[in-house]
Amino acid sequence: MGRSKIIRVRSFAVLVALGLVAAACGGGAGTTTTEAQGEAPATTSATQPAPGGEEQPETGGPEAEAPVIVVSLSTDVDILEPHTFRTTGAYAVTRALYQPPADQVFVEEGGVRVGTSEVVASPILESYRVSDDGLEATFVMNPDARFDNGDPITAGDLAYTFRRTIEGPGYIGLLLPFIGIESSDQIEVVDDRTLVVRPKVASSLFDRFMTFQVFGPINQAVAEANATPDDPWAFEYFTNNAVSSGPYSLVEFDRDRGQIVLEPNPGYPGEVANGGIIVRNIPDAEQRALLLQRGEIDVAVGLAPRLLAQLQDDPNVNVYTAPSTRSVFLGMNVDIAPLDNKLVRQAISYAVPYDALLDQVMFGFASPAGTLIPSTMETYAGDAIDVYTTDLERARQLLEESGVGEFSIELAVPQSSKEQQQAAVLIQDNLRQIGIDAQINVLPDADYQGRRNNRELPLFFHEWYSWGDDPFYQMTFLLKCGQFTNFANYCNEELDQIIAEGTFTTDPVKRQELSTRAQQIMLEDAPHAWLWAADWAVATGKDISGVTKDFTEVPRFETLRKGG
Amino acid sequence: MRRYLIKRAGISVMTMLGIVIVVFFIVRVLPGDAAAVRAGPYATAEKIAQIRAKYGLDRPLWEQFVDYLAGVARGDFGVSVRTDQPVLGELLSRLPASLELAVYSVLVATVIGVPFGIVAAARQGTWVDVVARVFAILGSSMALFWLGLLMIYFFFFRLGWFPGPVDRLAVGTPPPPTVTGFYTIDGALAGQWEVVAMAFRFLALPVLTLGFVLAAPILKMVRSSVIETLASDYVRTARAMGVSPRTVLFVDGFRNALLPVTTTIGIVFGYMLGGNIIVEYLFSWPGVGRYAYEAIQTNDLEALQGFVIMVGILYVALNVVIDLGYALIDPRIRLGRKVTA
Repeated sequence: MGRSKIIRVRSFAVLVALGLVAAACGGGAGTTTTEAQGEAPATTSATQPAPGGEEQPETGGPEAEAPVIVVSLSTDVDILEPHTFRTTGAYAVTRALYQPPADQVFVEEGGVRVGTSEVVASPILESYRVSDDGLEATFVMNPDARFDNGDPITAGDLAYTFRRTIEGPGYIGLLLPFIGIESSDQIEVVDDRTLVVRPKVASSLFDRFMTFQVFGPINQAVAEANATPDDPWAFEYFTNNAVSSGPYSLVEFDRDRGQIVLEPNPGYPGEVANGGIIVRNIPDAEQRALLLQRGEIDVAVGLAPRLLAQLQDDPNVNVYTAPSTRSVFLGMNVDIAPLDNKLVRQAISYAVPYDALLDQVMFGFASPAGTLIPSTMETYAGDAIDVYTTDLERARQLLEESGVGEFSIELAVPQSSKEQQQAAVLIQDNLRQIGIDAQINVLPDADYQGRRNNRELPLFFHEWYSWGDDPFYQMTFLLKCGQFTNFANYCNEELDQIIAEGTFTTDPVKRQELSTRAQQIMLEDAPHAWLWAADWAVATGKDISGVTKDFTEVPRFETLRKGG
Repeated sequence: MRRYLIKRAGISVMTMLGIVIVVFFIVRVLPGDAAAVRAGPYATAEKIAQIRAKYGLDRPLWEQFVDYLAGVARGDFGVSVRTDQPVLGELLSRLPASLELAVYSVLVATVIGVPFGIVAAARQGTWVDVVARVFAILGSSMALFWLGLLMIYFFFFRLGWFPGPVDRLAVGTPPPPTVTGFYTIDGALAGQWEVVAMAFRFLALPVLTLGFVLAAPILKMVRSSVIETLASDYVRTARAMGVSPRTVLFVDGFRNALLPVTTTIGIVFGYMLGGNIIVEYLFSWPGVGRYAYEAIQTNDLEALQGFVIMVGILYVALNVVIDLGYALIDPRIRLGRKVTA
């Protein structure tokens, strides 16, 4: 009895060992993946048929036989609700499921489709027009545009979406004042195909906002069917489900495996250049790069500059980059001594090794920032006014003038950003040379965010990207008095007036004038040291084209093409 | 036996209660604000307060604790702030991936550690023993993360022998119908032999990474236990009576060394239940370890404490199984009775 048990156990162990050896001899993974990509993706989990769905019409649709593309993002996809803050991976997926009413006109630059400031109707609209005075926007729906459950996308659906952003519990309502929308009374459904929105004031941001996925139509009938008294806008339903108005349908949302499968939405009247997308979460960036090099994934997003530099030398990989306004700066809390002294802040700004940060930390994948309106953003004034450059002698003088003398201060860095940690070391070295002992404190992200929100951090890193690339929008969030994201606690009334005026000024000359003055003020007060504007970058296999960078910099899947 | 089981169950319940209490309060003193993370960068103080209220994070600590305790008793581990899904469901759906990895890793570690330890003990002081000891030192000292990186770099990237660290199956491959949650078993039950082979291929690198590291303590324990038993009086007597060296080694030596070896394997397996966060992260393995990693990153308290409590419960259960296993291994031990010499 005992012996037979031992033999059985031994046999099983041998079987397992043989299995693992066989695994090693079972052929490379590349073959496996290629085969798998050709297979129809499976529906296994959270996707459910939408209530009230009809048979899908065969309009539009994908190119025949177009290959499926595997995209790896830096985060998982936590939720699909389009009006709630979520991971960057989730933003990429929801962009594929909610088609905004407008889109940018794109031009090709260095193999990248880069969005211009010209905005036109997106494929789900027949026309989009804003009156000359900017106080009336008319949206005429494309009669061929349908949700992926077959329902036509109507003006009522778009109106419902606007109302949801205004009255719902999501975060979008905070952004609406920028485009002069305050209440649902400003939204009028003229007929099934026509919607009119009447902003209170003209805003140069209106067009840009209409290209944001958060205004992509939500199916009103499905939403209302899934609404409850506690959840009248059906946030819970849309956390796990989607009825797509975008280029793709959600086929699989498997949180456990970190896999999303999208296939072209037959009701989408625009072009989809591939046969579908499989989104995979590969949490470690090094592994994403290796998988890309071995051809197991087609597109890798969120790679560190060091990895991008390595991949540039790989003949099997294309690294696409474009200048971006993604700003990284060193925040200085003006309420914490000795940073309450303007001269100390100026001294720190002069001590930062700007060139070294661009070369040694960002490996050249960044542009100089100059001010909070970085050199890559419209109305940048650094060519006309003096911005900070590294000048340790000047920094020492300013510190001496401040009367503060040598001091020690905490320099907080989030754990997740290796670049910011490297930058902290270089900054620490320069600060030491002028008599400031910066104590680097690497904090877990949640702790970092909590302490920064509570304004407890004296010196801290902050990365910010403004959807829409607008200078006054950027200043509102980061420099306006009392703003919840103004973690430096900076306040200047003149600057506040400029921001208020600039936000609703459409004349480009006037905007430049206001922005230049704003940059002079911020340079004088130095609430931040502006370190760099990180490039937008995506790495793909050699056979991938159609990479797109729009106002939001959220990955666009529908233009990706594999082969040919 | 019944008395023993009742007593053991009572101790286990008290242990689990202790785990829940300690974990709840430790997690609560962790720095960071889950509501702020959930609310995102545009969050106003009001919005953060709303989220805090929604998840009950604004209530007094003792109130939260009483609710949580009552919830755990009902099998409700709360709702993840990050995904808005019930924590228990998320953990249970990811657990099979971790268990499959753990079972095969411990098997590989045992297959390496036990025979290697026996041979090293039998040939103490020879080159085989030296190799075994060097292996044990390497396995004990090498960082799991580093070894995993090396494995991926050489065996996937350079040589292409194993698939890349993407998941349990190739991208786009549907998993077999769920019975046990182990793809290697479920695939076989469904007759999907290609899926079984693929599952083994994807298991290979993480299993070998863990197996190599976990084999070290097993090898060391087997070696020292067998050496100890081989030096005992009854082994000397057996040898004097002309019992063959092989029988002496395996029956008298190894079998008598099984108790400490079993304990070590149990500890190693217990460690694996919650200790493979690094490997799961590195190999994009969709188990509870990676879930815990994501929970830590976002300060998802409910998810984090759910993970720790689940691992604690599994560990307690494992210890009970090991205790029961002693009686099968060593006839001198009868559970519920005192062992007499």
